[in-house]
Amino acid sequence: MPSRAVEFTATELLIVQKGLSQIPKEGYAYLTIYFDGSDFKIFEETSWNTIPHKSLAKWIADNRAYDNKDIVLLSCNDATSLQSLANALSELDKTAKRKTRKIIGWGGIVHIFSNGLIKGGGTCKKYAYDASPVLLQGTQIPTGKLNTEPKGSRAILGAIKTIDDLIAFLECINETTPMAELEQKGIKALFRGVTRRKTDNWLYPGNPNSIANGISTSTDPIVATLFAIESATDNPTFKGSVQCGMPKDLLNLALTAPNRRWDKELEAIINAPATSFANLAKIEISVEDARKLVKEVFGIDLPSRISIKGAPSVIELTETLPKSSLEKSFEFYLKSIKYNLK
Amino acid sequence: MTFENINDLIANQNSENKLFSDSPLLRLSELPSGKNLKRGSLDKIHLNPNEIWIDCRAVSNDIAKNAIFDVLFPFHTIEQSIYGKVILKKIYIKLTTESDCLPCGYTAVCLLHFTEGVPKILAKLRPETQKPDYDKYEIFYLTQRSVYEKMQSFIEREQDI
Repeated sequence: MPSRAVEFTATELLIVQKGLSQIPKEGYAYLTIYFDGSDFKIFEETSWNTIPHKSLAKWIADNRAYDNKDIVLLSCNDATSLQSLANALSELDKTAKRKTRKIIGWGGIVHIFSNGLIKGGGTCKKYAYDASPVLLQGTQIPTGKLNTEPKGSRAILGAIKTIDDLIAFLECINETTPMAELEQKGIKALFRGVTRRKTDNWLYPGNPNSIANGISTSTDPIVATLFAIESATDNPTFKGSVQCGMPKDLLNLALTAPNRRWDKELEAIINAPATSFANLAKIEISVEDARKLVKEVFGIDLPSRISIKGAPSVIELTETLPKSSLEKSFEFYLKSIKYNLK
Repeated sequence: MTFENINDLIANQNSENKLFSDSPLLRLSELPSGKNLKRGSLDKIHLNPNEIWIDCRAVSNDIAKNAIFDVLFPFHTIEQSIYGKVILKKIYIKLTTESDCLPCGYTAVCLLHFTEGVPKILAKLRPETQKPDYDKYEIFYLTQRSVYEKMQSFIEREQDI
């Protein structure tokens, strides 16, 4: 039984409801199981129905709308639960002399778009009775409403557990994503590499693109430190800093869609001037202290100089250095407090 | 003094002999994956045989769409230059939105038009799906003839010292 179904917000419930209603009835049966603390709730047709925990397999088995359909479980990324449900359902199918059905689920978070598109993170596997799960690939993976592009609002089922989950989440950020959602999904800190003029501490506001389209931040302090080193190397009259902000301190700032290298730089774009992030972020540390902390937290010795024109540049380094988990990023944040210049 | 690659050239610049300030320098880093081109529906844009998608970074100043370059040279062997007109036809900082300008420091998927055909040497660019490996792949730069000639004379002068 899916003992670890995920919780999600009221807004997400509405999006799930809207998205699932767009999917044609033929093909897979898509189930979103919501756990409210005591009961599972299943979205069926147009409404949420409560179901006792132990009866979930029986409920699916008895539901004629799901006859002969493999079940896609959208809100459970726990392999043991998916396998248990597959076993329980298969036994009921065998007893009833029906075709035994399989359970399909993802290892990572699942995105449901209001237009009916479903996009899972991590590996997608099919679970059958008493057998090893089968990895699904390409067109074998369920996508909800076919031939649909990611558009409209989006619900994310599950917390971010892996770098792949994080990349999938960051890719889908757009103007409708509230800053608070970052915290809900486990992103506790954002980092930004900047430069300030040595003579008067003036903050470089960014190039015309970032002024017009938003400033880059990263969930990875290594990336922010690399950019601070690079900017300071090529501008000797400026000094590098790393600013560290928690999403809960940045709630008034709007997010926008990521740039081309979001997956390499674990980037989140904030549609606000550089000064807004600088003012709201509680911590700013020198690039020298940021390098020291990268060494302490990650065991990585970053170069003290990186030229934008040379190699390896930030482009190559962000592809060869390990990516920071959200836990390690938060550790960096907490340790940066003692170096805070603010 | 020997110059093994562009890093040596950069390291030996000073405020009197700045080679690139006010000059366009576009770094050709990698070949974008088909998956990412598809993400932005860029795979649906028809390319003629003289055109190629490359991940580029403006590394000297902002570079506008339709900027023209006329020299291509590799990171490791600056002297192996190829002359010919190259036009920066499209810039995608976000995969789904075309931009008019590639600001300094930004990387974008760019559509480059090589008037005399895409040079075969660009096959040494790293595919996005592969990790950086300088024994296997090469980084290239696009600039203008006047800048490249300035670089050459700087190298010759330094090597004579």
